[in-house]
Amino acid sequence: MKKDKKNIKYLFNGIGSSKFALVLIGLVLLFLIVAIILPQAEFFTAEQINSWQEERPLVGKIADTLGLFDIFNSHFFLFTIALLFLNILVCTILRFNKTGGLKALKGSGKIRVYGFLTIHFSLLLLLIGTFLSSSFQLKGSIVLTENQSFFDKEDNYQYLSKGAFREKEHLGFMIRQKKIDAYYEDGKHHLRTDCYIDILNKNNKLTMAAVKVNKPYNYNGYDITTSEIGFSPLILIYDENTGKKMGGTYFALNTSRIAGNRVYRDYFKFPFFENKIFFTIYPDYKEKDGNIIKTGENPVNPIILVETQNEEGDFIKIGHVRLKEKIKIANYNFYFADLKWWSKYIIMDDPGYPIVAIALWIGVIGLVIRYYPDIARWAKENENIA
Amino acid sequence: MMQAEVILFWITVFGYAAAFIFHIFGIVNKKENLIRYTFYILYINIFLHTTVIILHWILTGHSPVTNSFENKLSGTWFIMLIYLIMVKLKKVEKSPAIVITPLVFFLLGYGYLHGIKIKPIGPAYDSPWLAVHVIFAWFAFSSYTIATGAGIILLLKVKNPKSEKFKKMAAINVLDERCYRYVVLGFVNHAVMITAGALWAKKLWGNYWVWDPLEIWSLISFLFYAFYLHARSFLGWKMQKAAYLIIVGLFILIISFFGVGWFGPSPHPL
Repeated sequence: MKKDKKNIKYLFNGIGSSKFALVLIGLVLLFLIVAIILPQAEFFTAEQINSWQEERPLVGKIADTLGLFDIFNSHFFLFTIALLFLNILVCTILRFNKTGGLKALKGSGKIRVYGFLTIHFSLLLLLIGTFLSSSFQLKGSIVLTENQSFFDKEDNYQYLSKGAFREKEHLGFMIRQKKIDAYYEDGKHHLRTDCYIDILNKNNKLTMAAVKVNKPYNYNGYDITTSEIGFSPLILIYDENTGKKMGGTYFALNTSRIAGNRVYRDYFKFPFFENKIFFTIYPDYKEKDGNIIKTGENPVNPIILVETQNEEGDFIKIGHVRLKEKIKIANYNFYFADLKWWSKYIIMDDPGYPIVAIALWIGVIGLVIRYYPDIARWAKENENIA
Repeated sequence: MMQAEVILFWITVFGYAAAFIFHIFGIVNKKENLIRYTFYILYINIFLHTTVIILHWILTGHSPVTNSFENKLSGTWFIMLIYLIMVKLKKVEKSPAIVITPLVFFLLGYGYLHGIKIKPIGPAYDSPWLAVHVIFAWFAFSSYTIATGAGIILLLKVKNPKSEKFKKMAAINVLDERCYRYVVLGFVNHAVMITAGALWAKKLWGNYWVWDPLEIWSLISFLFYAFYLHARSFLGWKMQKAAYLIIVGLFILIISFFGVGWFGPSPHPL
């Protein structure tokens, strides 16, 4: 019995030791360094990770087998974080007892004890908050062209990630994208985006909202955030011989940045054309030596560059098409009928966030309390510096 | 960039280079006068540096923190200003200037290589958290840089115990204590910077942490300094060991601040 008690105490001291804390910090640092070297699923798309693996087949295969492309959800990482939580908890209890328990909160070095306890309490709270975030959050993204609607259902999200323990039903709301106003200085420098939406709940109760960059709209606990906009041209496809309309829709083109410039470009596959067809929108342009040069971001004079790709991967220009004009591709005419904005929204329900935010501030306060006596002493010290 | 700003910018850059050369000559030839001149140059230079920042601010209409050049311009200003204030308050020795000045010189030059773009502030920066995030980031970076300066001098003194060149510099235990103090200051500011960044990210991207390369680097540097503080307190890692840690820490920090693009895309507006 006595031996068991001794063993438990030994184990307890080991788990809560500073050396163990240093080993765990070192391990977390190692995971983070791996996450810097290898593209992570949390941040990069599956396509980007695949292409990284194709370029480095051996390293890619090993890393994939070890689950290193999704290191923050790997068992190794989560186990290390769990151990860190235990270490902080046990270390806090041990240190509290060692410094004299409740008596230490009234003694001469009480500020340091308060600081130590506050910092370690905030760390525990932070880990609890991040655990709640990763286990219970819902994070989805959608792209909505003006006048388009979205229903909050599992399959309707462009991308959706849910925490392992999230069982909460979707709210089942509907978002209707109304007008998108984008403001640019000199037609080039993005100043502001105002996205106006209607939200309808299950009972058809309407809420009108404006979502802006840095100013999310909160709907029943769901944060609706926007940070990216782009263009959706309406392309109608007609059979050249019969004149019959084959179909048509708004194609939301991806917005990317190349050397700091916005590029509105995407590709599509059509059943009647073997290769991919690439559309690039120039919202405003001028022609120079037969080439199209973008002159602004406002869609005042839009034109689409249509290209395809040969087997070697080279881009072959098919032609340009202006608004209300058509271009022939194979035996079909593509009519550029309209141009609208789209906005990308992140829809987030994160029950861990309030705890994380509180923990972060408590941590800062704890650090200030912990180091205040030292900093005050250093400030007062008269040092003999030449 | 208008003509006056360009001229002042280059005078400032070469001013730092001149201060560094004076300092080196002062140490090598053991001439106190030259070291004194170094600091006269630095005091004039910080005034010029401030003028460049004000001119740039007037020209762009926003604080200089929105692109690579502006970040280096304001970041190096913070480092030098805080260092000179601490020297004036007699809270740090003059010797770390030999490390801080060339670092400031190189960072300014590196910033210039990225090109100077004058454009209005984008919507991502339209947040009250920007000021908090950036100011505390630079306070942290300044403190860590001063600590590194002291750490390098400590290592030089330890490697050359009998050298006359380092004789007049502070004792190694004083330098070690100096390293610790500035790391503590940096660490507290670093915590505020990460907190402000997380709260800003929540508003901007809907999530307080997205594991993008810049956030990972920032966390690496924070945990690294946490490791330093723990190792110093509980493993007794002081003097050389601690100084080496601090130097590695600054290297990580430089990547966090300036080299994130080397490792892949980041949604960060900076």
